[in-house]
Amino acid sequence: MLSIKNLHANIEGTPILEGLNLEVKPGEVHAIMGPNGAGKSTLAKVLAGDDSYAVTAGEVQIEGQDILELEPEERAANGLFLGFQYPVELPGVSNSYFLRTAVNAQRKAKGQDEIDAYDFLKELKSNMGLLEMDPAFKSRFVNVGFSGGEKKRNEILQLLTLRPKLAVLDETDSGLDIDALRIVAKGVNSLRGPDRSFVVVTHYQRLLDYIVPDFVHVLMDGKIVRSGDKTLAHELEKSGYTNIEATA
Amino acid sequence: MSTGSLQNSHPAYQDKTEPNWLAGLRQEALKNFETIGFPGPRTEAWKYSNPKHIAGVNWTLSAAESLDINAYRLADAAVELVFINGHHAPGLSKGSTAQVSTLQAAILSGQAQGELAQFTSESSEAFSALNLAFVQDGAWIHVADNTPIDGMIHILHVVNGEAENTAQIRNRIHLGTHASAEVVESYVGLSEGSLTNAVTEIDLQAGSELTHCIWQRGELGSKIGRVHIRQSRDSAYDGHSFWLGGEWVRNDIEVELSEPGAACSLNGLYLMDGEQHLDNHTLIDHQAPHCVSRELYKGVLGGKSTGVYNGMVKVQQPAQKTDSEQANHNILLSDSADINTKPELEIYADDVKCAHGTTVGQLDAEALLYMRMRGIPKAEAVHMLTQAFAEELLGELENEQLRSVMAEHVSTRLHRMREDSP
Repeated sequence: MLSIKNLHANIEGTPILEGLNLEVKPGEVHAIMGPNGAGKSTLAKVLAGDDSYAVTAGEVQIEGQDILELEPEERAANGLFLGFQYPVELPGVSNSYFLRTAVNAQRKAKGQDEIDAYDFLKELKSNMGLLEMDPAFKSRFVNVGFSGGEKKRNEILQLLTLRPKLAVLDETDSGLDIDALRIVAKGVNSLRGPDRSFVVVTHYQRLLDYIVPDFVHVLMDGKIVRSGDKTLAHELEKSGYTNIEATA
Repeated sequence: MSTGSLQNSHPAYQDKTEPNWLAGLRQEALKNFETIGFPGPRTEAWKYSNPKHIAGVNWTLSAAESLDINAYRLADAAVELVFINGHHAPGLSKGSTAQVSTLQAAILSGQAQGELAQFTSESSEAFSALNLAFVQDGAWIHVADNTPIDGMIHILHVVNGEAENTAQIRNRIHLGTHASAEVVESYVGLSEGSLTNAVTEIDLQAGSELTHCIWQRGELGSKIGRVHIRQSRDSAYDGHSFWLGGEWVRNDIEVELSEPGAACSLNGLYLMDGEQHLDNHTLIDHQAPHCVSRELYKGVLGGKSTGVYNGMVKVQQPAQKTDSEQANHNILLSDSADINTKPELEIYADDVKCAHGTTVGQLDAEALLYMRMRGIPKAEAVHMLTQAFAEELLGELENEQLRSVMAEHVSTRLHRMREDSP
């Protein structure tokens, strides 16, 4: 599904990613953990096409296709979704209009007809139900005046409605209380399946009790320094990143 | 310029059949115009809009012609009064009511005497003086006391004709005590090198309410517009300007809140690209206590367009308890677009509440990226964000039919301009 080879990226000349490799197969959930400043969010943004980062070497393929030359909207239409750590507010643009435009833009890029308005609303309603969201959020402006937890839930609503092949979730757990975390995880888990992969970027092991990963990687100084199964997350929780560095 | 060719082409100066009072007004206005002269680079109020391309032409009055104007009609209007090149086109006008007529008809009936040009700026302002000296025709709306007019009145001015031809238009709206009306004034410029010079006089008697929409359309020609509103006690003026066209446009709106309890709102939306130039000047003059004014102008500028916003709020010494808010917000879509914005407050009373603010910015880059990462192509994302920016002014229109018509035109205009955005 996702293949990253020797990825180097910098922002304004400061190197952040320095030779990162990662292979994600269909149906797998990978967690990327690491200390602050390790490059976790940079990885997520580079994948989604944020051009404030310059990619200086390496390649990224999704289902065998190079994506680094694609525009952000083309990557999205190819099935990539980035759940933002800090979701952006869109004053004057209602949530349902935004989502329907996004769904239709992706369909158009794939040569499909627009979604039936009734089917769309039905789907939106059911997704909002799953995430225990007040139906009023449908007509509110995207993320405007939402609490931190509501914004994260809204990201997962977009995830459920856009149904990407590969979802990269950047610190989706930050700022969530335990109930919100459970709901967000329920949304993500409802999408898990053999054809869909997840890369979950997180600082804490807590999220991984709810979204159980197949693999855990430690990202430090712009590289994956250790990989393992879910028990690695528990080990990190106990002994911290400092010891990893020592053994890396 | 010399006014010779204007005089040669104007019946008032040829046939000399007009009543004496009007001939007198014209002579005085002509004299004023010749004394004042066109504004130049050192005229403060015209600093960013030197009309040298107008001052250098020997203008001729536009002739009448027949045109297909169906594309410019307002389907929901109860009365539609059509003028082409400043000449009334009765065959194209629709609906009628005793309250809506033309300036020429009001001159013939004598109603215009003592009403025309009573509080406008002919003695101090060149284009108003030129207008009165050579005015052809325009709408004459006179609503009697305690009369509400049902349905929208559409005044449609289409200016086609030859280059170096000018239409000199004057409309007058008088609402009697506790009368009300909704008026849409459209200007469609179809002719390159033409000049539309329009004055609208609005006289609102005590307790009357006017909803007034000015709509600039078409791509070509220069347009000078001046709206002068005088409000009596407890009257309400609800104004909306939509600048969706025009090549070189200067617009002045001047409101006199002359008696207590009067309220005005001035809303303006300008969407510009290419090499369009638009200069908006507004003056809200609080002369009496307990008056309220609200002003919101918003603009989206692309291409190499240049815009000006100059909004003055004056609070005279007697105007205690004035409540005034004024805001101007701009989005620049390209590096070569330019806006000069200047809100001004002049306060001579001590117990007032006045606020003003202005912003100039670009579209939110993070918002654009967020939308693109959800699969929305950049051009579509730009359109959604500019549309959202314009939405606030559409929301100010209370008339739903008018709001949906304007929403469609605003959306079309934004779609057209997104192509030259970066």
